[in-house]
Amino acid sequence: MSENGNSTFEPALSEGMVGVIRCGGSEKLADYRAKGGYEGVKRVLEELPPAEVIEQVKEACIRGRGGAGFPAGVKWGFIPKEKKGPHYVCVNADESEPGTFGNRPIMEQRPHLLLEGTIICAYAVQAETAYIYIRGEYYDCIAQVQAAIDELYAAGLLGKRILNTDFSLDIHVHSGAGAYICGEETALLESIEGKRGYPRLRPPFPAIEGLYRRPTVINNVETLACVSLVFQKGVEWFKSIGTEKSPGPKVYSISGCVRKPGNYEAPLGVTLRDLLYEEKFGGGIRDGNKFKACTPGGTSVPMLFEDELGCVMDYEGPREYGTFLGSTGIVVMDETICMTWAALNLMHFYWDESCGQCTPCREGTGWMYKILTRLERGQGEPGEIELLENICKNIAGRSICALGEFATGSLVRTIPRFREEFQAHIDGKCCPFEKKYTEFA
Amino acid sequence: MESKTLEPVVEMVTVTVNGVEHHYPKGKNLLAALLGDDIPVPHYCWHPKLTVAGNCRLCMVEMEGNPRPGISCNMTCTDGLKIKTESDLVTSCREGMMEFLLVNHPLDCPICDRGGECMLQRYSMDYGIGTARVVDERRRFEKPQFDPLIDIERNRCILCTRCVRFMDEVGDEHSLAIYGRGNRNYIGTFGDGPVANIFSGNIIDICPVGCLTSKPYRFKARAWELQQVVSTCMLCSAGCETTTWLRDGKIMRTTPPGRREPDGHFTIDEDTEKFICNEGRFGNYFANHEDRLTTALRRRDESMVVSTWDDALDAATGALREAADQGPDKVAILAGPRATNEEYYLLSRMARSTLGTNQIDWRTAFISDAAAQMAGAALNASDGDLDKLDVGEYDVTLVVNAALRDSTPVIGLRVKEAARCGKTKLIVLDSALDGWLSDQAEIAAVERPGELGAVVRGLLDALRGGGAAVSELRELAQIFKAASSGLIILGLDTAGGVFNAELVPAVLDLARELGEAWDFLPVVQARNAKGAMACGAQSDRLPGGSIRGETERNRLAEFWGTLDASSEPGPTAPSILRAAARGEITTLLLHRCDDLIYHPQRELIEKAIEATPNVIVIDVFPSWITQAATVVLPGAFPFETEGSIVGADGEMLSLVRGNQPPGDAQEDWRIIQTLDERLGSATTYRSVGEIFSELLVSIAPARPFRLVDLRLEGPGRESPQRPQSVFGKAERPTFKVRFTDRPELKAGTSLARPVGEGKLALVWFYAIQGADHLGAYSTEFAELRPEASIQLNPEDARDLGVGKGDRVNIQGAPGAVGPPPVVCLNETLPRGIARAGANAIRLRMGSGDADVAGLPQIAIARATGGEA
Repeated sequence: MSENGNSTFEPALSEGMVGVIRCGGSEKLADYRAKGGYEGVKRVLEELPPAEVIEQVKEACIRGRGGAGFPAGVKWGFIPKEKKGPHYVCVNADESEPGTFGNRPIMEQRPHLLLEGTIICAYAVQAETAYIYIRGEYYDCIAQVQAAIDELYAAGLLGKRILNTDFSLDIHVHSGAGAYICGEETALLESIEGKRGYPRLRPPFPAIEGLYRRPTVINNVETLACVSLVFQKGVEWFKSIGTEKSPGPKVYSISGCVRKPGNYEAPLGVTLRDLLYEEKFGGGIRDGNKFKACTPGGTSVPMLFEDELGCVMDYEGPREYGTFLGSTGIVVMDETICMTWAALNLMHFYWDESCGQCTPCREGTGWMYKILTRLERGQGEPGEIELLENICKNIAGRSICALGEFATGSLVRTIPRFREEFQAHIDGKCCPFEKKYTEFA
Repeated sequence: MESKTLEPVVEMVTVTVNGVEHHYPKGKNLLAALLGDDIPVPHYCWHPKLTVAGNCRLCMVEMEGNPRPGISCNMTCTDGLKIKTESDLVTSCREGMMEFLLVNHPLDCPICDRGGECMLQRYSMDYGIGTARVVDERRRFEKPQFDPLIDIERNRCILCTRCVRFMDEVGDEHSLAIYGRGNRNYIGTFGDGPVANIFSGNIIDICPVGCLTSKPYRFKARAWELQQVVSTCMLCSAGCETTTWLRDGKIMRTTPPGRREPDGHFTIDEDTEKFICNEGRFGNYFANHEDRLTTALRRRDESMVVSTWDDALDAATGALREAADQGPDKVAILAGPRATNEEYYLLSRMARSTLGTNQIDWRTAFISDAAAQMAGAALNASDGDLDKLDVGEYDVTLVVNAALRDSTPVIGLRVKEAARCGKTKLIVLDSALDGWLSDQAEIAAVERPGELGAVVRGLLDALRGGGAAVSELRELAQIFKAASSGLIILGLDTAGGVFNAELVPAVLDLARELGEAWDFLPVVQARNAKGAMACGAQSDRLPGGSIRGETERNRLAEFWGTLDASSEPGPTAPSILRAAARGEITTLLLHRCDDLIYHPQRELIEKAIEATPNVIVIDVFPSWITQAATVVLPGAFPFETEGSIVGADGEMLSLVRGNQPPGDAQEDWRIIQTLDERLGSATTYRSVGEIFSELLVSIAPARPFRLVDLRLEGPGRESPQRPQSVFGKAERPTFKVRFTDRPELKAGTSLARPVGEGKLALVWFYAIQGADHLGAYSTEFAELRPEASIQLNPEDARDLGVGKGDRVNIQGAPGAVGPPPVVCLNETLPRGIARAGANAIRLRMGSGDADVAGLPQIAIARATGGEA
């Protein structure tokens, strides 16, 4: 990490939180304000016109933390300047990606960091209503965020005429009901509208026709937390962290076969090797085993392997290897893990979570799940590894949303790299690995 | 009409398809444009009349400069767009998608009803890889009890959601939904209840696979074995084009028009104009019924005995001649509403020329002379050339006093669709809102039934700038003034036309005031009322014009040799029936008088038949009327005879003969012509075509009917832009006006007289359900048809001690003799008013002056258990 000149990096998003998730009381409004919290909101509401706010966010180059890395300022800029009806802000807190849990500590422990960013965002896009769509299983997050919202209403920081300006905002917490697909931004909108969580066709894009067919900004929790930091500490401060194209801090979620799984905040641009092996982060592979593979950005993106540990973990780095930074959910697999089993494990998830709206994802995930189940049990047929690759090709880029392509993430780079290991399941009519974890059937 | 031709100029853009430049209107749906140019693009979920779902992913095309394919159904034509529908990428997309669709689809084509017309079969052959790589077991669903008319086989479903969108967007009944997740998704209704909608049968046609199939048609036949007869539905005046599918002379099913592709595949046209109602789809099985009249019958003492045609015709001729010799007011012809133009023309000729009488009329649905007269006047004033009832062409559509959903569903659907798509501003003025059409209305106004005319008059005053005391009427007038074109739809036969005397003149004045750009469409339930009027089966009209018109008389005299009937109009059907009941008529010819069988004035009709010495009936089924007749001549059904009818919109539609009438039954035109010949008429027609040519010449100068060849296919239509709000309803709320109890509006005469203790005034209408006794003979459908219902104001219902879903008896006189109807609550009904389909509940009312001057006053009581 020294290469990024961030040796003096102080965690700004997580502050005191290190490593594993700490349950317990969240940061109260008074404590947050004591650290300069809501100074950003005060300055923005009192001094900056909305267009200027968007300019600053653009200047800070806050890349969307949800996974796509799209610059938040540009996204806000898509909202029509002329307001012909309500605009909406939706916070995507439906963190359901396997191996991704970086939003959770922010909401549980520093909910005001999220809410300040939400208020600034709503002001910038002239929205009077914001929805925070929190994963239903995140019960504590829902409670903490709601408590923080209540504090804000009491303090006059939400509701009518915030801080005696003309700006009014209501924030509603909306609990998800256990569907991964509702983390897809348009399915999230459908879900808020009370409909089935089906992703929408694009165009129209949410910035033009989003929630209730009105212009809508959808941002990830961490993105909005970064917005708060930018307006508290300044654009220059933010840009001094991370890389040129991907500035700012990032919470990396590390899980799987590492000694110290947990959330770790680091500047964007830290290398994968540092994240896995440095003592202050993952602390190395468990039991002294050898690293085999990991998902760099949640299980939806193609995996990285042993010779790729030098990958720079910003929005550009993983692309060089044909994968993505995604949600920075790093699931580590060591040499004891069967890659067929790992793929089966993940395919079970995507088959189960596919909403079933469009053909390739609905049928493709189910089909691949069945093939992988047989492969792992030693009942695979010759040629089925190639069939899997072919199915991946037929899904990728042809489904309504990205879930179809996500489902192929565990296979597209893994099969070419571990073809012999897959083939051994067919040839030996059983799994060559000793350790068995869960049966998925 | 000027304003209608002012189409906005459409900008054309150049789209390069497979290297060839095409020119399409800017913004047109790309898939629709490609299909319109006969560029094949396979698709499942896209339907020209439904919103874009984009879920089947089969219509993908390659876009230049984009490595990823895109679905053409969600693309619009933009200038410079370059796409390929044939390329390696597109081929691989189609192969991949077809393979995915078959992963869980059972290979049960041999026992699937869709075989031969299944799009999955078809595209598998056209675009599939030809081999199966799936070895795993397919998922299976339990088969639920679903709908009495529609069978569901979920294993075959490809989840295109066409049916769900149809029910949401067209059926306006949100009964279908997707349940489950992922590949466990399935289509269903809440609690596996019925789909229950008058248009639900269309989901059978739009289902591209064998998931939704027709229960009456189930396992009956294969599409390729069937003979298709494209004809016109005769169950209501909408005049829908339908295909009747016959095998060995038996009707297997009725669908909207379909076609056979060159490869032998059958497809049903994807066109909203051709969505048909369940009555039209399932209600035609009566033709198969074994009780059909297949021989001529003659009265011998107390019973009807089989007769030869010769004897029967002799008897009929003798009776008609005898009466005609006694004088023109001794013989009368009542023509039923399901006849063809040619039959009306021949009947008119027989009456006017051969028998020398003007006592011929079709208006049996009206309960008084005044009501019938006014209906004739309204029809006469209507435009003959509405453009295929394209309601979307009009800025404003005003619907007055018309039970469109219940009596002519497809006319209602067209109006509703136009309003929902925002093409027309719908204004509904009625004595109760149906919550169906009125939900799409900009303004839905309720007034006590007898005061509707006063509201129209008030509107007229407001339009003229007069002092309309009601602000809503002034607002309404503003909407009318701002419109560049409009359509007025007026229901004529509600309550037997009892409101016509007030309403028709008021509405006609309104239409005149609004001027040329406004069209007027009077609606009756009876199928070919306009044809009957145009072809002279109306006492005051000759084919092609007024009975007094010299030109018409001369022209017809030339065709017919003589025209003996006087130039004084004869009596209307209600007057003829009253005269007959007084014993003033010697011979009565009843041609297809189905409406008389369940007529609310049963007593009058019984008396008329009893008091008339000779009653000649031409019909297809036995009934109490054939039992009481002197001579019965067995006729033919629409698809057993050729001919033409006039649709509600004034369009000339053709009936195509596809089947022989059973036994000795004959086509009606032959029967009428033979009678005419035996009565001494000189001219004979050898074919329907010959009659049609003469009829056209006769009526053309008066009525510019357009001739449409039904068998030609039109170009695909554009997908409508629908408001996509939460529940598929229009986003704007309906502004409801209640004109009831507004003293400033009262005209002084209220037809809904104060009702007696515990009684309700019944606004009745002719429902398409059980519109005639044919319904009872459509056995496949009879038991599945929705039950008769009666609408009550919730407060009235509470006073009567009945609630929603209760069965009630309507006893006494007037009363109803059908099975006890089910109570529906409608809070828009004014107090003291009930609403029901007269033929559905089998209304019986008197025919005295007092009885026909207003609404029947009925007493309602909860039916006790076990009573039916």
